[in-house]
Amino acid sequence: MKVSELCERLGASAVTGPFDDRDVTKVYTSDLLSDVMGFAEEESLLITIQAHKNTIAVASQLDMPAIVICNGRKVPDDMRESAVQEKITLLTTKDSQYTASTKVYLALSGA
Amino acid sequence: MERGVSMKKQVRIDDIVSAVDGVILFKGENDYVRWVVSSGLMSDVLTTEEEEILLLSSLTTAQVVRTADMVGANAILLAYNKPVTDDVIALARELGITLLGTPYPVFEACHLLSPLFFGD
Amino acid sequence: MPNRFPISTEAVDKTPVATMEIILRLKVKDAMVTNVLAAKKSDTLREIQMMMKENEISGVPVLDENRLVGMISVNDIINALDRNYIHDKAEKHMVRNLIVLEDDMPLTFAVSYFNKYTYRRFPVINKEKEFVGILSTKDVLAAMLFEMNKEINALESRLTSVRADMPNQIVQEFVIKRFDFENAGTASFQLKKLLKEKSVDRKVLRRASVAAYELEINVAIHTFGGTITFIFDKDRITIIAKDNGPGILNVDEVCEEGFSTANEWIRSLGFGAGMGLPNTKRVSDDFSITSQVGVGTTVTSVIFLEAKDESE
Repeated sequence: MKVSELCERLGASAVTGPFDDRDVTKVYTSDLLSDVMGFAEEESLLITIQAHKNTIAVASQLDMPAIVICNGRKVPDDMRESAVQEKITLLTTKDSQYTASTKVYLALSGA
Repeated sequence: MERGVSMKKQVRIDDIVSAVDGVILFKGENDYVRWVVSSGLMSDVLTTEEEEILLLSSLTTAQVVRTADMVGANAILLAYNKPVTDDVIALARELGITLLGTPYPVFEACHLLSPLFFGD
Repeated sequence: MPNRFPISTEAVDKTPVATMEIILRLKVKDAMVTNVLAAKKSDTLREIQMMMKENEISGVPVLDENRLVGMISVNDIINALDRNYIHDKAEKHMVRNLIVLEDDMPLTFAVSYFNKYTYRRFPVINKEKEFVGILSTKDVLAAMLFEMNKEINALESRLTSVRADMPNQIVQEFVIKRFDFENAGTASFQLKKLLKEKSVDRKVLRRASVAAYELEINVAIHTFGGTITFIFDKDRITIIAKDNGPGILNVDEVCEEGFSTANEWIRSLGFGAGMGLPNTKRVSDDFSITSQVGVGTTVTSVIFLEAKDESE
């Protein structure tokens, strides 16, 4: 499913982008950047509350199509600027990581 | 899809263990949970207003157990079958919180659990 | 192959709790040996053998000016004697691919290196890549024994006092040590136990637990250490977290959601989300924070026992 469509399904807002409206096929949910670096597959969608500039660096390294920031967390300015620079789509949602993960799964499995 | 902070239904821990191909590392006082909170950040867990939750985390430190205790979680589910040290299990025992493990990563565990919590 | 976690806990997992606290506090520079005999790359292996014999050491770093370029160990000398090249220069036979430690690294990293590699000693360099010392397992032990002695004295000052300034008032005070992750939360747990004994309302108990825990963790992560005091009165619970520095320049900033000064290492443990003080403020009925840079910070949270009117 394309990032833009996923955004709509989640009822999320796009803080930056969508830049490259890519297909999302894999997802990784984690708040720990070291965990994402170690275990997330490249080109996964990232679901997290880690609204921090470093998240962009990690997402960029793993060529992630987008990041979903949960729990209504605000995206700080330096993170947003970094996302624009690296062309990473940032979506925000009020849902928790658990609910967002479930919604994304249902969307991707064609529910 | 997000429900209000009212008494959600009880979901049996045994059903959870089956759903995620899990193992029981320590069996605590309660045999049910009412909702899932999935987070790797302690402060985030502490903001939850849900009660009697299952804390889903990929972090296996003692702090996860303490944080879970602070918010009155009934059980903790550790993702990735990460090795858990004895002091963490001992702490879970001391605090009476059920400790579970699953081989799945967090995202997969979330959706494997969803029929139990979202279904009716 | 994906990266590993920044902290390998393999080695420290099997060590006892108190020992691990101490390891967490120490850095490589606290444990390393600094007045180390070193050889020049132009020295012969025979000269190095004599150096080792006279000084009873089993490994020698080889330097080029101040920079570390290799190591010679007893094994290398034995091979040289066996194969007859003992008069060769060190630079011809020294081990070049060295695993080095940085002096600012936490000792836990060093311990995990010992676990990962079979070498018993590691050369240490500073930020300028100059050679500054050697760390071996015995040095780790020596540093820890020293710290443990200090720790035993300090543990004696971990006090719980029951004072009654007024009838029905209970006061408890706990010492919080910097980076003491093993024990961070134990004080809050005691408060939770106390409140449960006193049959405090469930929601009030939870708010007090969250406030206490967040403040306790903050002291452990962001300060040089301090105390947390709980005062249980007839109508309220007061939590006071006081630390010994470094102090906060802008207290409004730290109360903003998402503001954090935590580094990657702290974040990898699940802390440093920048929600600690905002969380505390949110659950408190009364909240105040005062600070002086270079002196310390005091955070006070008050929670009334009479639960506020909350709709279910």
